[in-house]
Amino acid sequence: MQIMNREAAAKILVVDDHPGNLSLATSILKPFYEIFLANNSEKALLMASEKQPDLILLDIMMPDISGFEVCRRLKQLENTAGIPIIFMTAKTSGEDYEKAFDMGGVDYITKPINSKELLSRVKTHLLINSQRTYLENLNQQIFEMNSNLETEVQKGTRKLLIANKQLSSLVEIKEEQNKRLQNFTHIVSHNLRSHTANLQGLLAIMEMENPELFENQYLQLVEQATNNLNKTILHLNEVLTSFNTEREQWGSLNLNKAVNSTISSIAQLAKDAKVSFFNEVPDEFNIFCISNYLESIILNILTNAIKYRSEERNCFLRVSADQEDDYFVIVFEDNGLGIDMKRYRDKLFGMYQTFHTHKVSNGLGLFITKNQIEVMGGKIEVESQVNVGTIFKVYLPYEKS
Amino acid sequence: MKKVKLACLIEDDDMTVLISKKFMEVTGAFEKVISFKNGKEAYDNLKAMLESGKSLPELIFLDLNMPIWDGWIFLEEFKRLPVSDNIIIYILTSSISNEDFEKAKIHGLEERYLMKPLGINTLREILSTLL
Repeated sequence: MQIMNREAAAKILVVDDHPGNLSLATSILKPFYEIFLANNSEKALLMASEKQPDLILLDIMMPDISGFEVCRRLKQLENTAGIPIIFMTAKTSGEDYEKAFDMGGVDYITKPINSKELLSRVKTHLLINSQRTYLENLNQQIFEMNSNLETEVQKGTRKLLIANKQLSSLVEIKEEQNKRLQNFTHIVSHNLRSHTANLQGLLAIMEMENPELFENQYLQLVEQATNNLNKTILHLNEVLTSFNTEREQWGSLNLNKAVNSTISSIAQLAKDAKVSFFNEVPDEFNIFCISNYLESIILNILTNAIKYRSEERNCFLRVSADQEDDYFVIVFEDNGLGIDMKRYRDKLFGMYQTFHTHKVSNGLGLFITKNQIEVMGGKIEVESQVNVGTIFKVYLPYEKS
Repeated sequence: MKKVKLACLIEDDDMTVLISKKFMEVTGAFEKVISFKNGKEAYDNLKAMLESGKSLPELIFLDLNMPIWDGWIFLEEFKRLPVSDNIIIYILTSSISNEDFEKAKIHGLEERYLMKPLGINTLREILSTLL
């Protein structure tokens, strides 16, 4: 279609010093093409440049400059070199015929002009030329696409290199942080701990040798402070250990089995506290996660349900799971003491926050739980009503599995 | 009651040595207690005792974090000495690091892993298994 349209609108320049030939050519071609005429070589060169015809019919024998010379000059100019030229002459010698092609002509017509022959050749060469132009354009487009593609690939490669560099520096930072964390953990678990151990030891000797001293209230407080300090160090160690990313081993964990095994590991505790657990997790839920984290999260929430049960009723905790968009949602619902969300929502997952004057709460469980969930790319939500119960929803990304 | 003729503390912290010795004394079950400041000093002295034909301690309390040779190096090296199996080693550490406990398991010492401070009840339990 494109080619046909181009042919219909084609412009043809006819060059001949005989007005008779010009008018003959015009009469033949005019019905089909846009015609430009030049009766000498100078004019021909000018018009070819200006009008940019699709085809030139060029007389060889002209008085000023010969058609061959015009052809040679046209072929040297960038904006006319591509225009196909058909030579016209009365001559029929073999030499002219060959020279016409040598000079860059595409065809050769002898005079007197036969109208059918002229139309047919013009049509053919216009078609050939438009196809050539079309192919050249196509080629150009392919070339451009290709070089665009190369540029894109280079850009992409550069981006990847930069990303890679950032990633490896992140890994380095993480390793560095891990090392610092380990040093810090060591200070807590060894150095700080050894001082409290000595304090405890010294107090024990004093108590053994001079028990009457411990009637002194201040000494009792020193002993209490020492024991509290020791507890704090134990907790701090627990938190620091939980931050150690070297323990992060990703793998697939069957949620139902994990919940069941946690339930049986604290079965006695639950029985004594008269708390019932219900595992309603579908069998087929396998979660891609850091297994020991998820196990610790389950254990934490389950033991919380025991710790913060209500003495006023039979308590339970129900575990269920579902898929929601890109997440696995694990739902833990209990009917325990509940948490005053208005007051504590912001602090719930903070370190050392306890919301019940309960002897077993150490204020670390939810802090560690939240951290572990976030390390796995998830989140935790909580709904609670005092003296009604609490719902924890743990969201873990589904896509990774 | 049978007595422990010789016990050994390998411990760099003077206060811990004092506390441990005090409780050992209170039990009345220890005839003599010697102490060394680190794993290397203990190894050298025990080796010398062995070579000169003296009897070695029956009971060793070994700290983990010490300068020069820590408790682990001592364990590795001491194992290579031609000593009889009836020397009982207890780890006595202030460490609450899980890593240390895991390492103790590798040495088969998880049942003999004590937390500082050494108390009178712990000592009595140990003695009851010994004597």
